[in-house]
Amino acid sequence: MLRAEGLVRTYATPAGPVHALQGVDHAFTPGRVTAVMGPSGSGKSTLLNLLAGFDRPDAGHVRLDDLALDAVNETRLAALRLRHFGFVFQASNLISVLPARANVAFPMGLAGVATGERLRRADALLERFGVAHRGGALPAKLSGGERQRVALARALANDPQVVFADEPTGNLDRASGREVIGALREVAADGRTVIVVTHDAAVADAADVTLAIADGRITSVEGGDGAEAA
Amino acid sequence: MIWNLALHSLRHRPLRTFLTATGIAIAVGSMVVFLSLGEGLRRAFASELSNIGAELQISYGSFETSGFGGVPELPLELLDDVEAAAEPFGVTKVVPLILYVRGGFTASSSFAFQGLPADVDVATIYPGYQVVEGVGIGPDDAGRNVAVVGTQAAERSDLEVGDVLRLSADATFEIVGLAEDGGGFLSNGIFVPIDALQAAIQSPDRVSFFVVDLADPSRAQEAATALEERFPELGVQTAGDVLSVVERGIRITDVVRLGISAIALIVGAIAVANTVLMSVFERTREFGVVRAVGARPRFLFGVVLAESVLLSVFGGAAGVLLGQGGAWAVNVVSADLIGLDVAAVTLRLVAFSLVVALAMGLLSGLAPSARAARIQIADAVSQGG
Repeated sequence: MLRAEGLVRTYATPAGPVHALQGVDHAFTPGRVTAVMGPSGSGKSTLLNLLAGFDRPDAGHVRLDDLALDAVNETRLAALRLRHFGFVFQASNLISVLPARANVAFPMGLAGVATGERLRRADALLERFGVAHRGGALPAKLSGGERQRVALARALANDPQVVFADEPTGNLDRASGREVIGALREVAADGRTVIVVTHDAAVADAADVTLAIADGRITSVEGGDGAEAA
Repeated sequence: MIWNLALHSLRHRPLRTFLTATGIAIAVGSMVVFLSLGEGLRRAFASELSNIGAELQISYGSFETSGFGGVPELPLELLDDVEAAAEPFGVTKVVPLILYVRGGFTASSSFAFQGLPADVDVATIYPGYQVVEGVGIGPDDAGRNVAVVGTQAAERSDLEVGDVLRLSADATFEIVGLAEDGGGFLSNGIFVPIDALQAAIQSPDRVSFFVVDLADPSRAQEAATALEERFPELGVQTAGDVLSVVERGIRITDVVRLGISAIALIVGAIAVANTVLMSVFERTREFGVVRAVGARPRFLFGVVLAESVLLSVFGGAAGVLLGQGGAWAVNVVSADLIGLDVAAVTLRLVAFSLVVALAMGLLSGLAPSARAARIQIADAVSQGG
């Protein structure tokens, strides 16, 4: 299980310190989609950066099971992201020079999976998200919805525990957005933790748990069953 | 994976890749042409010196200061003493020789005169030398202003048997024959009786060299050492010594030519660095995503460095081909002007050029690679894009 424990993050700016997170505690339950919502500047992206190990907290901890992410070095953190985390970003999150199939196979290559095996698994993942026929296409030739489904397939490449999605429907029309939401629910149904940072109310409606965040603090938790208290 | 991703990146931007590689190709190609001149000259000198039958060459002072057609300084009166001193080493003959260059503004008006005793068969000093038109110089020509011209010199300066060559305002030589030795310097020379040349340049008791022929060539070094001890004021060179002097001269010009080439190479390296750095800036978000999915910083360092190396090596390989074409063009001109192929693209030059291209790729890729490796994931993935 992924936990945030007393997370504090402050940025120094020319205008003075910005307190992006001021003590965030939450336990993200496997098998559920958790939507993190809030206005711009509320701290939701900072929370995702800390949870994913992109950044380190000034105080508090992020724990994956018993491991504190802030206690490991950059190399081990990269290995942890490779094996335990998957990512879907808002846009342009595929490697532009590689076809869809190679994009999905890419994290497996980093993990040392043999070429034949990674291509077989990439094909299976593309098939799962309904884009197997687009495996040879470069990202620029894919529609927004196709790109996000390829990104989802890539996020699952190394069978991660946690999938992070940052505004995954932000650049999509409603129909494509619904498809992506459905796919995220499927991913959670595998028993994975899915954390979605979003402005999209449709995503929040489809989520199992919704965290509202404002001024660097969690202001409400909806849909939880009490297990989320860190 | 690193090389595969780097190759994909270069193929994805074909025009930029092509233009940058072309810049490198021109830089490396110009270096190949410049350096091929040294390689060609080495070959030409080695080939020509191997055609010289004499084992030793004796000059007044070092060969560097007296070897290239200046005023003769070696007293002719030493000839008998040198012959006597060389006797124990099995000398077969000692021949005085004058090398005198009459410079002109163009290749066709410059002539290299070689004065030899009229009773010496030139072929005993330059094996392979033969008269192909007219007559050679014989014992009866002593003191006469007659000349045998190398075929290439004759062709270049449009000379025929019966024409008159002017060495100075007071001295002219009638061409009585044309000769060749299969190409090179000797076919570019003009052979005249030594006493006539001495009179023409008003140096009656001085010559440029004594050439010493030994029955046993393996004793050349031993003889040279003994002669140098006996005549400390003279320079005694074996064929190998002469070649090493030439080699030293060519090396000096190598440094100059490499220095000129370095300018082009530096410009090429800056072009590569600029291209790769631009590519890193453009792909900051993408690199952030690559790091996010689990790549280590050194993976990105490797990808960017690989792009730089691939660009440089591809460009370098094209540059070698371009340089080969350039060297061929130089040889077309030089063969026409002086009858020699002065440029040669040797295997070691090709290897050197590719190593330079590789080094250029590595050096110019370092800064962009380091920048890519330092990309912060949080900043990169939050960029629009």
